[in-house]
Amino acid sequence: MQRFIVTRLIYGVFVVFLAVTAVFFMLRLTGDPVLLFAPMDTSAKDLDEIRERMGFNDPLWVQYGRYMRDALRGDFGESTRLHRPATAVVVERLPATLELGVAALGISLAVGIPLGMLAAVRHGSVWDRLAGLLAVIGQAVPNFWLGILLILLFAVALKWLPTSGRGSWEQLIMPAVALAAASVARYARLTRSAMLDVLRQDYIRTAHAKGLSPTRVIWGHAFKNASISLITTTALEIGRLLGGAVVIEQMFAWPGVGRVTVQALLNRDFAVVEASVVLFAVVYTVANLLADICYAWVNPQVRVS
Amino acid sequence: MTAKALPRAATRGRLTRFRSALTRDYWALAAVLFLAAVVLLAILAPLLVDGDVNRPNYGVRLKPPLTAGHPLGTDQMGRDVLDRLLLGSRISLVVGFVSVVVGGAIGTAIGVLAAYYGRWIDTILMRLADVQLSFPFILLALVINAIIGLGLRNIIITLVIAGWVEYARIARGEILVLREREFVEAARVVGAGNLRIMLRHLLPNIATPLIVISTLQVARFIVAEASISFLGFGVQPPTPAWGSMISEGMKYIFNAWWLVTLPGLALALVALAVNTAGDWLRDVLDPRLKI
Repeated sequence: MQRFIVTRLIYGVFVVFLAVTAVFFMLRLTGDPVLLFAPMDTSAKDLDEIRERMGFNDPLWVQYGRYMRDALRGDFGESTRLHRPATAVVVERLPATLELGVAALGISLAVGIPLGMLAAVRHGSVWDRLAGLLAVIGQAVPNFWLGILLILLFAVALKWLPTSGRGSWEQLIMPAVALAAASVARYARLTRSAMLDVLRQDYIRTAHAKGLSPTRVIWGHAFKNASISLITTTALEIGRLLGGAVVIEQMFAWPGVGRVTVQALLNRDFAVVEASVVLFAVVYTVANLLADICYAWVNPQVRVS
Repeated sequence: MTAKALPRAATRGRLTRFRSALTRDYWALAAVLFLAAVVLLAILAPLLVDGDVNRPNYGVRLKPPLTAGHPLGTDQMGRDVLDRLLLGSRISLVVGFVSVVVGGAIGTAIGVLAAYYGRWIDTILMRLADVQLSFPFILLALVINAIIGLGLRNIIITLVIAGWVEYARIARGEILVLREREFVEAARVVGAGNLRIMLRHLLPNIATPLIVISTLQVARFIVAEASISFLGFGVQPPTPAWGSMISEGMKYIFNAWWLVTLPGLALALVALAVNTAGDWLRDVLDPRLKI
């Protein structure tokens, strides 16, 4: 197991390295990054000056070497809009994204798992159908549209919650719920099928036959085993929530990494785009790595390959 | 066994099975009928709307639904919401289908080649896939779209680039198992070349998971296009794409609820119907499939 983790870890570092390289080439692929990222009305003379200052006139491999050297130190240059180091601009938004992500994950676990349990234990009942319906809807409804519906109901019509921003817990509710919806649906679906698999097993029947209370059998015996697949999913879910945050943060003006990325893309702020995309890649790869390790941990067959 | 090799009676049997499976499952039937209606409306849309849907008509600004002449109301420039929704369906469907077909074809080809030839081709292609999967899908699509530019054609290219990986990985995984089977050996012994083995013997055998994932991808891509256009990239106003319609409507969220809810409802219903049809297809084609 130790060897597996070390191998995966090294591979994770390798993937991040390639991802950082990909970001470099992606942003230079279409030719002139200055034209891509300079404001539309920049004069030809200013463009030349920017090119020279940012080193875009050097050969590509020289630029790449410099970029890699700086990237390893966490330096992606200065934001053209904010005139501050891009890394700082992005990293200082991380707590906001984490706060949103943790809240959404909490909602997903707290709602999705009990819903799936209920559906499995009362298999074929109204509850099962209701959970199934919610899961299907939760998966199909685009998160930003759900966000809009929440705003219309709780901010415009009822005036209970503020429409956007960050600071109070009231401002966290709607973005967290909108972000969590798809995740709730996936947890409910997965918990249900995992529980149904387990509940069919002989040892469950034995536990019932021994006279254990249904609650004890369901939580102590069945859920414990069903939760194995949920652990792996949770690592993957962290990555998915991160992706969802890109849209949701923009929608609710939540000052996180996702919003700063979208703004930087809209403002053509080269350095900030680089820094934030790299940060996303690192966090996402770590989440995938965790998922792999959890999977191997519960499923020893995987370790060999 | 290839689909072509099936005798006619068996093919007919499969069609009957499809039909009876569909009439038994009311939700799937409803989804398929709904999708058929949407496709029909999208095709006929230019005939159904009157005149230029982008032309402002400030005399009838922000009229709520059920106004005479404007069953779903008008937007901030007095343009008819129903007309724009109808035309918007064309964009969503075209983006969904074209990017899935093109991305699916490219991804499948890459996956088959990687698994069939193995060695360094496989290594390079799969590392490429790993790198791509180290970014959240929507972020990757946004960055690609910002680089290659806005508009309908570029959003399709974006989704193709961001979406091929899924197919490549599935095709590769299936082929790795299949290529060791006896029928591939047998085909080679009777003189079939690599191309023939891949196209006639391997590809038909991996069709089921690819068809199922494609169906689900259509919904995912339609929603992705709307999300990207909503964020200000992708399809730009005044072109009536559902995502950009919602984005424009956001400014009027306090006094015109229909501008943000109706395009989103259309989007959600289409995604729901495609997903339902996809789930049903998986259950009928191969219930053991874990996608």
